[in-house]
Amino acid sequence: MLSEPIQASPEQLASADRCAIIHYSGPSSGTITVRATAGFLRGLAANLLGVEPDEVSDESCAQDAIRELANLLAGSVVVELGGRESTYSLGLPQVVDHQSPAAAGSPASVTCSLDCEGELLNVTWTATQQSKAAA
Amino acid sequence: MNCNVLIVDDSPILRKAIKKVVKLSGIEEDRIHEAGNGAEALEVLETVWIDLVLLDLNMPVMDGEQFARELRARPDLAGVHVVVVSTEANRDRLARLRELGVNGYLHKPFEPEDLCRLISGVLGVKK
Repeated sequence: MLSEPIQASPEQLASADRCAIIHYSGPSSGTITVRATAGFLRGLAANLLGVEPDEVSDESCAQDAIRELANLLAGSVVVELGGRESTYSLGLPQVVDHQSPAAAGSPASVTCSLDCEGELLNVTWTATQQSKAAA
Repeated sequence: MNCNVLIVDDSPILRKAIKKVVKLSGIEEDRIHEAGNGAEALEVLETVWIDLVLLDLNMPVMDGEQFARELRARPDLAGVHVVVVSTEANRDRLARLRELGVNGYLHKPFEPEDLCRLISGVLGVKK
């Protein structure tokens, strides 16, 4: 799936109405929030299953896909923060009601939006607690 | 290949994706079993001999570490190989799993070839 970073408009962000969140903890802690459109999740699930997107119609598939994407992204974040074997731990990813990036964000958050062949993926990384060493 | 593999992951999509890779490594489809958490995996082990468990760590009900502990406490299942396939990279947890005799570790996301290589290595299969 081709993708490019974009400056998403409020309307585009509102269309990304599927949301999952995962917490990590360790030397510092934080959350990864993933928002996506239903079309993006269909494409993601289809890629993982090796089928066409129109063969993925089950809502549970979309929920599973966004949970697993949050899990994979958080896994990559903690590897970036602490290396291959660190003292970071991951929580379980949870599907949550849609939150707007503005509501979920904080001064310590970074957000990125990708246009994936007309579908939107938005990822927000929020650092909730810095370790003394990191600070 | 006459080996039974059990995929333990709480994500049905990931189980299906991993199953495809396991098939690529030469395991027949009817020899690939699935479980959504450690407790379900223990139930599968009661009914069929499993040569290799591909184990996620962060799962509800019973996580992968607890499953590995229960498995290693069972002398009748001592020959079951375990490869951890997880996003989890916690040093202490991985050390505890190595102490439990886990045979390999693969960080998600992974390349299919890496999993095939691990499966062949653990099951002692020449490509």
